Amino acid sequence: MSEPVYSLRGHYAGFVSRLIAFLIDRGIIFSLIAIVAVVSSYLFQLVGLDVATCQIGPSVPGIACGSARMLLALFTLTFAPLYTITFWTLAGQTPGKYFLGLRIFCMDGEPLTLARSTRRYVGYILSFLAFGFGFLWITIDDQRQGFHDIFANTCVVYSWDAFQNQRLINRLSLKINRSRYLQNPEAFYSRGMTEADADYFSSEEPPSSV
Amino acid sequence: MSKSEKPIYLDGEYKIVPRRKDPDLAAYHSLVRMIVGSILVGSDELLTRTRAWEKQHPIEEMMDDGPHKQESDIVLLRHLIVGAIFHGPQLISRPVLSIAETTDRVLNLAGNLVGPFMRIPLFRPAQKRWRASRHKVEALVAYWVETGRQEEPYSKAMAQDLIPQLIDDVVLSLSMNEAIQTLVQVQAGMYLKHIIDNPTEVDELVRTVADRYIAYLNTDNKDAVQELVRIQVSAYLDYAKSNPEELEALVQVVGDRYLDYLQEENPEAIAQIVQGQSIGLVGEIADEVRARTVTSDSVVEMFMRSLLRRPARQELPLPPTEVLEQATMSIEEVIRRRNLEKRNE
Repeated sequence: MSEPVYSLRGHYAGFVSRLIAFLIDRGIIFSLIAIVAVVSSYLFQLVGLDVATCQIGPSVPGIACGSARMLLALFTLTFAPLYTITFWTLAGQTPGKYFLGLRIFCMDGEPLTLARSTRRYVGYILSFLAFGFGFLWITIDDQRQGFHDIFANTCVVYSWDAFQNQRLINRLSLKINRSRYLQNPEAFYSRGMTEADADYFSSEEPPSSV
Repeated sequence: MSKSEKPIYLDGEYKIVPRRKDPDLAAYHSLVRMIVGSILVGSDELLTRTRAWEKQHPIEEMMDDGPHKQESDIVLLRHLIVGAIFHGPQLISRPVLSIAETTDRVLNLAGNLVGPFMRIPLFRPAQKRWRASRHKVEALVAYWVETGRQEEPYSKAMAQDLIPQLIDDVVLSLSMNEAIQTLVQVQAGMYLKHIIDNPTEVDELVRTVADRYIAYLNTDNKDAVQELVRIQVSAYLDYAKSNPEELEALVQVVGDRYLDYLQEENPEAIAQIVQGQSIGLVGEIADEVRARTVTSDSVVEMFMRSLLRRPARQELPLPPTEVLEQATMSIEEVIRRRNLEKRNE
């Protein structure tokens, strides 16, 4: 029996899509930082500054070399937030998110402002500092929001006609939950399970739609 | 209430009258259904066609308003009969209705007259019998009406399904008949001779018929044509699959010719093709990655929820309407709107 397929365009995007988009963005950011570092090192070497070995001291070349290193460090530190916040504010998506067909919106449907984007980036850092649990929260949250989304009141949605393999999902869902439900249905009810859920878990075959 | 039972308004109240099932009459009923269905379908079709014809050819257009010629008695009689057929029903219906009305009045009067006598206990058995037989007749009539109501659409559907099948069977049996085959061969031989002798006539005929047929296919039978093309194409593809060497040779010849044409006459077209292919490839990769990640989103979520012993998600919640509206817009549109809002501010 073929499962009904419907577009998930506009639905909240899940953890894996967002993780891959994040990794692509990180890849782009690190590549650009590396390119800038290599090119600038080469340019500094042309004027006699070896940024890799220079000692920061009282001499003028030392100060110049130190300044150059500081500049590079500053660029390395600020590039990632600048890149991310700029893309979020101007386009509502980074190149990685664009590749995965994801877009960020405020929960009231408005596009992100600079302040909101900055707030979201701070939320990013908080999510990271919480041992990454802030990102993992996406998998549990009903609206697929991470800590940073909740902090900035934003959400990430699919901006393309996303279709999922409903058959696979139905089968897995049934496999994962059925035995546990049959062993202790009361526990499921106590966690807010409805009658429809109960029918679903007790069925022999996966239903046509989830 | 089972499907074979129908409520019928009878004697001041609704009663369930079970449908009679008579296995001995099953064949008879089937035959009657087929006949009734054929008559209904045929009369519907005939009525539709006659109405359409009348619409195309209004009677006023064909009326002869000029002075009438001298007509013989026989011709006049014929006209009289035709006219009577047209106006007869009106003429007859009036007296029939008035007779029915009079009968009704007479019966009412008789009932009023006889009523007091019938209430005498002496006539009670007769009264009971009269009432019982009246109920019986009413129930029978109601049952027949209900049967007619149910059988009419069923018979129609049966006729609509079976008549084409019957025609096909008749045509098939005729085509197998030896005498008819011989006749067709003789006729075809004669006709072929005529075709060979008159090529221009045949050419004209074929062109007219083909034009008409193409117009008919384009307007009324697009789906049928598409189905036919699909069948033909799939048959051709099957053939191509079973004869790969033929297909390969053909593709090679056509491909070589096309490459020569591109290299010699359209080098920029090749550049465009390569560019388009590259973009297309990136798009395909993106689509593939997206499709897989969308499913993975739900699978990973399911495992995580299961690990934390949360109930499985039955349905993905929809974001607020404002977000949905924005998500269906292209990025260019979002940026354009935002710029417009800023300008208005």
